[in-house]
Amino acid sequence: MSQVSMAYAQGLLELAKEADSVLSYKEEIDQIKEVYLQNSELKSFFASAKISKDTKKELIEKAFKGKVKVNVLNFMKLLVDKGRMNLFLEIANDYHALSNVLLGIREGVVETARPISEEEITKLEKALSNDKTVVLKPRINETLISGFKVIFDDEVIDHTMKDKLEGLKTVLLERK
Amino acid sequence: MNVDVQGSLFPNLISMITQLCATGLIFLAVKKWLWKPVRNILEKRACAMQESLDSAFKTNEEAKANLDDAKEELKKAKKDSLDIIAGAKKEADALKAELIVDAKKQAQAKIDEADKRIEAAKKEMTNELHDEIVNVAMAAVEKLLEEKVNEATDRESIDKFVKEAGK
Repeated sequence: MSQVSMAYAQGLLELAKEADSVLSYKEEIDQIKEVYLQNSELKSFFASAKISKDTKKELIEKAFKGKVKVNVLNFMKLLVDKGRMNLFLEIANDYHALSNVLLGIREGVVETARPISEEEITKLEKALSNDKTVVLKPRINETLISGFKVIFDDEVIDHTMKDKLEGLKTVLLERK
Repeated sequence: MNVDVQGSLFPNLISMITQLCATGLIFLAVKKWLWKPVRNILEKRACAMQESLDSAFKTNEEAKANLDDAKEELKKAKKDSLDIIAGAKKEADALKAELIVDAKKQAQAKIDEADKRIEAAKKEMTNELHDEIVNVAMAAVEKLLEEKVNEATDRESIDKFVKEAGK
């Protein structure tokens, strides 16, 4: 984040609040971010000084019209006008974080050695949610042997065999 | 020949008296003129001899005194030299003893240091061996566990956690 990207993200958040669509804006921004990440030419396209702002705005219109809300579309065009497309990724991440705070969402990753079912993930999400709603993204980590590990920004909950073994190892290797 | 033997043998009185007077005269003359000077001379000689004797005596006494002093000095010198030798010997002995003690201390210190190093090396090897064993054992346990786990065990641990959290 930077002061500038935060400012833009907050601006978008205010719009979203007014339209009572904080969550959907978040989802749409995330989708655009995915597209942006998967098509590396886009970065150079928007960064190029040779291409006119209008051409750039046309692209945005063609690519996303009807797929995202009007305000979001206009927000993207605004970034082109202000020459701030280089900050788009940062802004998207900032908006994502801000909206989570507003919506009381806490995002984390759940790692397991083998894939687990949606049902299990939901059970975990429910169990971990107290004042905040927990949303977990699954990830495979083959070194865990068995069990699960939930990783948040500020906390790690480790119920894996690997963890127990490591703990045992540390105790055994302790020097007197 | 008829010699008057009796008359020759026994003294004639006049001759005797004349002889006596002559002797007496000689005696007086000697006494007057020769006695004192001769006596002086004799006295002088006696004095000189006495002086000689006295001085010889004194010199002898002095020589004796000097000899005694010299003997004393010699005795003292001998005693001093003996003392010096005794002192030097004592010092040398003390020094020798000190050097021996030092040498022994150094040798002991070296031995102690060597012992310490051996102990440290032993300990290090023991520690390394210990760590090796732990690592190998843990790796073996991990391998064994991997055989026994599957999706079911994963689910179990999640369910257990959810149940605990729900309490």
